[in-house]
Amino acid sequence: MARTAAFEILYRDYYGRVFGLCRRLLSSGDLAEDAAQEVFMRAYKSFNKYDINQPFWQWIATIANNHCIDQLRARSRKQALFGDETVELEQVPSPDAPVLSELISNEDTGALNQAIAALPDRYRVPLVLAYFHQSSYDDIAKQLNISRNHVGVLLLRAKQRLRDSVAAEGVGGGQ
Amino acid sequence: MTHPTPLKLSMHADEALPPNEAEQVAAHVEACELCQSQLSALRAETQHLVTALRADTPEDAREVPTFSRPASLRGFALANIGTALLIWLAQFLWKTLFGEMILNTATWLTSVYIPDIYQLTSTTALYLLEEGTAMLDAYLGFVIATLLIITALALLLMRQRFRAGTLSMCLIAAAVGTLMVPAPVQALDFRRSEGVLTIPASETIDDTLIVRGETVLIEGTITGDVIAFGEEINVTGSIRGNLFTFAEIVKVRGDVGGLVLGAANTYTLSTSSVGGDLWLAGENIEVGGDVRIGRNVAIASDNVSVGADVGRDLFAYAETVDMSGNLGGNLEAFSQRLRLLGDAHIVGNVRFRGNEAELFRADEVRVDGDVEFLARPEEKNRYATVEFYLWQIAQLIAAFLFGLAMLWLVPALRGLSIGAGLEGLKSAGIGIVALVSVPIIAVLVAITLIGLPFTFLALVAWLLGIYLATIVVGASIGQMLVSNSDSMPLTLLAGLATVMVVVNLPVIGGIIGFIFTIIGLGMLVQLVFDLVSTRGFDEQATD
Repeated sequence: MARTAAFEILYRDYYGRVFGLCRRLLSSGDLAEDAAQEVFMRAYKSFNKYDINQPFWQWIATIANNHCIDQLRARSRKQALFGDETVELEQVPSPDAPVLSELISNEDTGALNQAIAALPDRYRVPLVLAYFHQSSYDDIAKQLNISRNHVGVLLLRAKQRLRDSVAAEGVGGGQ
Repeated sequence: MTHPTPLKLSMHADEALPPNEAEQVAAHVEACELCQSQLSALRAETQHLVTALRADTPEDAREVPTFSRPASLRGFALANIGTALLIWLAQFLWKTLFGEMILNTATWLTSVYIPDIYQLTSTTALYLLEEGTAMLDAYLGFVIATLLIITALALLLMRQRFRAGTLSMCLIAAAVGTLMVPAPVQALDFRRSEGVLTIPASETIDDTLIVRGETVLIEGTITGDVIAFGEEINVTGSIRGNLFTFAEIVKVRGDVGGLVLGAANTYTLSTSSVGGDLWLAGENIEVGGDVRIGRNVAIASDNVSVGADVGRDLFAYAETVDMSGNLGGNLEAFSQRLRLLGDAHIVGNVRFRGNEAELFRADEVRVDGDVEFLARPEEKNRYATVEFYLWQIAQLIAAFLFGLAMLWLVPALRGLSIGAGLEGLKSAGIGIVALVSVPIIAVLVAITLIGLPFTFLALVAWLLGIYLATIVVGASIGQMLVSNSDSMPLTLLAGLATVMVVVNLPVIGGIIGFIFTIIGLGMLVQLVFDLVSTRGFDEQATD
């Protein structure tokens, strides 16, 4: 009973964050709601394996990441969700292109988030993991089952895509 | 001087390069203004992204939905299979083993001395067992089909969540298949009227008939059972099944193929034959001389007068019992007065629990067996017998083993505690409600006949709950007593032993036992509600 009570408190406290993570990873509110429920269900089942000395967020976020990535994989129905590193590398932008902070104001997070949500899964997932969840490249590589360099390439491409779409929208006023 | 690739620079901005590469890039950047500005632009961009991603969007401001705990597919399936097997096993044991055992034990026990009431109890129990088996027979398919449907529905729901595979489809198919061959449930015919309700002589009803009216006249033929409620019920027609009546006045002048069971102020049977038993309760009960009863007669009443031919035994609880008919078996009278009148003939024995002076026997009366008088057995001091203690120990062991099994199977039970003050009162209140309401609801549901299996299951759960209640209370008392022990069996044993001693205390033991039962029952009900409830955590947290 005590275990259940403790879990319920954690659920209430962390639901928002888990939902947020899932929403950013899956880029859909409804899917994220299902995913968040599933994540807490999985967490509940293995709650006795949870090490109390580990931050709860870290633990549940790992479950959430794994679950969402599985979901995306199942959606794309093939393992190569994150593409081929060398192909991606060919499309890397020139180094002197304007970066996001020059294209869009810091206040206009809505537009940027919209652009992020519109990214293909293979760019959005590493981006969210790296900059929302702030996982290291190594952790992302492990979770996506790709190399660290591949993570770098995907992030690079993701940012490029964002720059392109933000520039095309012509929103905000850079610096 | 070669600039680092965009990838390296980007990874460097994110501090994701291996140390040696990071050093090289850092060295270059220090000397290269272009790369320096690119690096800081990349870092600003990262910060930008972090800020954007961290910002709450309107979508994030959702309400926290209720957390639905995971259902275990395996557990659910196992439980269903287990239940089905259990029902089959119970049915098998009931019919073959228990029926025989109880019958034989009953015969054996009646040969030794036992209080007279035993005879009636055992017959009642036997009857109920027989009927119960028949009932279970008829509804077994229905019960199992219901279980399968529930399983199938649950699986369907789970399938949406987990994309479960073929297994679920197989089970659903099995459920549908079972439904295709439903158990033959007899149809029902309901009739009601505020005034006089007549089933005319010309009418034949092939169903079970349930009637309600101020005056009910049954003149036609009914091939099923009849259940009748009213002020006055008159049966002159023929009923092939059983007849159940609840009325002020009941007069039966027709033939009944099965059992006649009724409660009435005045119950009169004349010129009729009853194929099964006759079970009646009322103030005045008269079974005329032109009546033939195929099996036993059991009557509880103020005044009983039996002139009929009775195939087997007659049990009568009454002030006065007048017997003038023929009896194929024994006569057992638990009455103030017993009068054997006219040319009564009793093939078996007469057992009269009463004063010898209160037995009147006419000259023509023949009793082939013995006439016995049994005085009220003396109240023995129950604490002074060895049997009492042996029985208590046996009960303790049974409760202990059962309790241990339940605590192991349902770990949530281990966390239960009686709770002090209001909490305990709340449990007791809930317990009383459960104790009283379950059988009432069960009986109400049973009237609809289709509800019979539910009644049966509810009563089994109720009885189990009552038994488990004391065990649960024992377990939590054990925890209080042996609070420093981690051994669950030890605490349980200590608690149960304490409970056993306390409820056997003279005078107050019974009351304490009752209190324990209702508290335990209340705790169990709350636990069940807790386990199945889908209440939000906000409410639960305030509990």
